[in-house]
Amino acid sequence: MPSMIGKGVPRVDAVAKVTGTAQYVYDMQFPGMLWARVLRSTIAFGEIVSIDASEALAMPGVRAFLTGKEIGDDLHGTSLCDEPILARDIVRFYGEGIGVIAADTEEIANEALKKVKVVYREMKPVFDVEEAFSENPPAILHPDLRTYKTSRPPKFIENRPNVYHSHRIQSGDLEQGYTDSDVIVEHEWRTAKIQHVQMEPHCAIAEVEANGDVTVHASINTLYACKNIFCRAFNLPKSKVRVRTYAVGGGFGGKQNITTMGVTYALAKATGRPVKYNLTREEVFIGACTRHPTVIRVKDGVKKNGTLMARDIEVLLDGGGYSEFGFLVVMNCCYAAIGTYKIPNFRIRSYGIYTNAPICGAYRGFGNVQVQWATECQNDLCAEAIHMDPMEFRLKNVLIDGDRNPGREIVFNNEAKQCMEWVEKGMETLKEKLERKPLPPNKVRGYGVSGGNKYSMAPTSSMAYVKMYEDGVVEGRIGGDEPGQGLFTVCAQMLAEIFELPMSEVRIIGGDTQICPYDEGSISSRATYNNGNAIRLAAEDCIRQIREKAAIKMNVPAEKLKVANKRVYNTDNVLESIDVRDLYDLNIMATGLYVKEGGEFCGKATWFQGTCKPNENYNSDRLCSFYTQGAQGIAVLIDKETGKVDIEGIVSSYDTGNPINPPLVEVQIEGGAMMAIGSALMEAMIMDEKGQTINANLTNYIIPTFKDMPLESHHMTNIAKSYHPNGPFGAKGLGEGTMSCTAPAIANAIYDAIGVRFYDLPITAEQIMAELNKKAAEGDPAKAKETVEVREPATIGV
Amino acid sequence: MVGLSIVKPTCLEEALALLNDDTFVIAGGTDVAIQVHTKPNVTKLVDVNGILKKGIEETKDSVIIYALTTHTDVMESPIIAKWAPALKQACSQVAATQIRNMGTIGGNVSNASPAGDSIPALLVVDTKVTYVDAQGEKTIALKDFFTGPGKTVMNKRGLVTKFEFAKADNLKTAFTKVGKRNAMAISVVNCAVGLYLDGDKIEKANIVLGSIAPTTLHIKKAEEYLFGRKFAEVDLNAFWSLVFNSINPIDDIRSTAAYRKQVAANVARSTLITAYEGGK
Ligand SMILES: Cc1cc2nc3c(=O)[nH]c(=O)nc-3n(C[C@H](O)[C@H](O)[C@@H](O)COP(=O)(O)OP(=O)(O)OC[C@H]3O[C@@H](n4cnc5c(N)ncnc54)[C@H](O)[C@@H]3O)c2cc1C
Ligand SMILES: Cc1cc2nc3c(=O)[nH]c(=O)nc-3n(C[C@H](O)[C@H](O)[C@H](O)COP(=O)(O)OP(=O)(O)OC[C@H]3O[C@@H](n4cnc5c(N)ncnc54)[C@H](O)[C@@H]3O)c2cc1C
Repeated sequence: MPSMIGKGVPRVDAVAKVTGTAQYVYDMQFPGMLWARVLRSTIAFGEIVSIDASEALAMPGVRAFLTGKEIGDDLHGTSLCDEPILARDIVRFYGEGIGVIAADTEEIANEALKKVKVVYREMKPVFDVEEAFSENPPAILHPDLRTYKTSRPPKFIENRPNVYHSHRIQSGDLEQGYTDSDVIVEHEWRTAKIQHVQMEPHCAIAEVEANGDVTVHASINTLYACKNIFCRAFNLPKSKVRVRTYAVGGGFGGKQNITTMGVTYALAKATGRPVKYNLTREEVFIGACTRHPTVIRVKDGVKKNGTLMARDIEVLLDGGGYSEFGFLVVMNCCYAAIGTYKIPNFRIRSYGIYTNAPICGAYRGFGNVQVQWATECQNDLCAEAIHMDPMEFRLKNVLIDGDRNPGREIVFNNEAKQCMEWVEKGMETLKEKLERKPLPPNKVRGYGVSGGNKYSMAPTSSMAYVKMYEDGVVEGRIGGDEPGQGLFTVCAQMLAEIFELPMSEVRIIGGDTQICPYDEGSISSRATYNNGNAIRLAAEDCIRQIREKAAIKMNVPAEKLKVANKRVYNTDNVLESIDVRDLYDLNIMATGLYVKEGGEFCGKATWFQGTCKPNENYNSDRLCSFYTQGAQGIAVLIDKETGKVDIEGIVSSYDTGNPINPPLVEVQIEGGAMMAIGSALMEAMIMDEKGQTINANLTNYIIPTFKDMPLESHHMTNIAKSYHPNGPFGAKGLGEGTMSCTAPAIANAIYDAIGVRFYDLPITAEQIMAELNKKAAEGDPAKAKETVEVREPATIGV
Repeated sequence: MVGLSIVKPTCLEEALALLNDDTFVIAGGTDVAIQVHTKPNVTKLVDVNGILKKGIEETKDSVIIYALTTHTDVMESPIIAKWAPALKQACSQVAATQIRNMGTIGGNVSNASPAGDSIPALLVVDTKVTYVDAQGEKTIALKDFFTGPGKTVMNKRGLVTKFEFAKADNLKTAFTKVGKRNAMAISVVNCAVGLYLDGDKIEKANIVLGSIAPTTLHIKKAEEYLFGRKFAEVDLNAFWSLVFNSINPIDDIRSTAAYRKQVAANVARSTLITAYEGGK
């Protein structure tokens, strides 16, 4: 059999998705089902004095109304339990859920919501992350913070009451590093609040049976994390709760919150009917989760010869009203700064900070993308300061196998250098192509590059079952999620490889905690690496059972047997083989086959990825599963008359270990770049002075379309040659790293084109025009006059 | 939105009788489907698809576009490509294929958004609009049709039936759209230019900008400046200043006043050049 690894087989869900038969929770309905709508606060911070739903409850078709207090859940969170399903006494951001209605239709529920009367006692909110971080913040969001339950102790900061967690990685001697440097480069960088805009809005349907068994059908991207947090919030035994997912219309880290599960469960319990809650697109922006806006300060010391001597980073993560997965973002974002470059004197400190804004949690990259926005722009500034080519500067400092990174990890399977060199060459090809045609009038072109990485969390684990049916078909069951990235396809490929079967004879079952084993979710780019390893181990266990059985049947030692294409072969004499069917016995009714002893051929396994224990500076030999590495070069074309930036070409190379399915890897790279173009040039949630998000819709929150991507000949994508020694068939993960290079490469290209350095994302046409005007005013007063001034009394309409 | 009904009248009179402040005419529905969410008073949609006409016709002297003609129809019409290329460009930059297949010219104009893309392109070919209301049928210059953002002289009591403009061999046009992305973008500024030429002399100029005022605007001073002038004698910087000083856009969620003002003047100038040099 030709190998199934490294092959672009079609996705296992392709037909269902193309023919529209794939099931999404958003579209599902059950008999007798009620619809939930959430009442949302109209203040950013304050006490709920009273909620009067009597008028709403009197409406025909309205079945129940619950306040946060009536739901009665325990505070939940990821490590730090600070979040109720719905606000109880205190509202912490504009749009926070404070009550929920169940009605016969969504329309009735919407009408009923308008009839609920809420009285608040407003308090002074804090929106600015630096103010919130201060020792005397205008508002303290969680006065009881230090008494909350935790499963992993948060690192609070004394005298900074809004900091919910902090982290630090440190090595070397910063002061010495700066002393040994020729140039210091120091800047502050910012990123905006953005949202994942998954195609399928968040939703859930809950059912409660008479015996109290709970089933929740939900659109989420962490099956077991959601189940476990949900069980803890409602004090439910694990055996009584079944969580199911179906086709999930995108996750990107944004579907790990249990709000939809929580409100539907509470209402289902109250009404005895299945209850469904679909977020509207508008609600997705405020009622789900967003990416942390950040303020990042970086101070670099470099030598004239290009050696990066010291780097000190401070990251303020604006976390919104609750910590959610933001707790982990605080820690995880630090790895961005240690993954790619050798820095002998190093420190990163990060802080998760409450503000009166919609919750920030995981978003493709877990904070790593924001940190690298800063560091990868800094790299260009460092290179410029010492008159070095930006890629040469990176290559001079890039980590190679055997080095110790700034977290003192021993570097292995790091192909960053290979990626950078490929991009360097690729950019020459791109330049040559683009410059064949003359530049259109009023346009300027620029090129920029960036490196980038994403670590994958550890310790971590996944489990799998692998079963062979009597017809020889092999099924793997995993708890890992398939929100569209292709996990089930690559796991099926691994089964096909191990059992030497065609793709049609293997399948993956997932998305059901009742029948699928534990996993930690499709987060942290971990799914292929961890689920793949679990599948591999469980498959080996299954094969062991088959061989042991066949050994008796064939009278050949098990070690000499090999399972392939539904047969068991004697490796000493391949002509000697039996059909796997022959391992079964025919039942007395002659209706079916069964395994007479030992049960079904069903392997199970746990894959556990450990780390080495960190020291007091959070350093150790190994802190993570792996690093995805990458580099990207981007060509931009800027219209000097409108400030509009067009992405003309993208050259990408990523190291994802051995690619199981190269086309899936390529589309991840392209999709990640596209998502990052949005964050670089378009996306920002805008809040007014009251804290209300005023562009919570797709008319005014702008995301890229395919027309904003250079999809055809100017998008060159390379998968680096790489093999991770612990990965399944050498594979690592990829999803998040694909966003890390793009925004800095764009900013670096814009700088190359117009000589203006931008420090804040997104970079808008308005800002570009304003900066061009400033430059014109400095350089050529006559020109400046022409492009900005000359004010006569203005007239409209004439 | 509870209890929203759609009625399908069978003749103009029946349709007109249904129109009031709580009804919406629905043609392609691409604006209406969104507007019903924010206008709870609207209880009835009056579907005009059975009673208004669709299609593009060429007469000896003019081109007629019926109200139900879609953006796609306009884009693909050789008649429009020949006589009003700016309109072809404008319609082909509306939204994306799906919306262009549904959205109509009648709807784009009746919606009277200051950002509507077909409007400047229709204005620069001196389009006349025909509408009917209780008083009967009226034909007026399109430039006199708009009274404010979302407002027209029909005052929600009329139906646009068709547009007509004269075929002019000496007319060159061009259109430019500035949006926040390359598709599905509401114009931050849009601009159309029409030049009636006698050789290289500008007999008459239409310079129209959208999204910079409550309605799409002719920039009178700039038009007067070009009137009767040879193109080679046009001082493009003076033209720029005239446009710049004639408009007073506002800040909104999509952009800033300062940006719009500068970019409007910039694109007016570049569209003028394109119309003269590249337009037909
Ligand atoms: C995804 C999506 C895309 C869309 N794209 C478009 C599109 O490209 N084109 C389109 O026509 N419609 C588009 N629409 C429809 C659009 O919502 C409405 O048609 C249009 O009315 C814009 O509404 P608005 O309230 O933002 O703008 P309006 O308030 O009607 O104004 C639009 C612009 O005109 C200017 N303006 C308004 N009033 C004044 C004033 N008093 N003084 C000075 N300037 C003023 C401002 O610059 C303002 O941005 C789209 C809708 C959706 C959902
Ligand atoms: C996603 C999206 C993107 C868009 N992008 C653009 C864009 O790029 N550029 C742009 O200009 N527009 C854009 N629009 C707005 C919209 O598609 C256009 O304005 C379109 O031409 C409207 O035509 P329609 O037939 O769909 O109008 P409808 O929605 O049916 O009606 C629009 C308005 O006009 C009224 N009306 C319609 N027909 C008549 C008539 N014959 N007589 C009297 N009143 C009438 C309706 O009552 C309503 O007020 C966009 C809309 C969406 C949803």
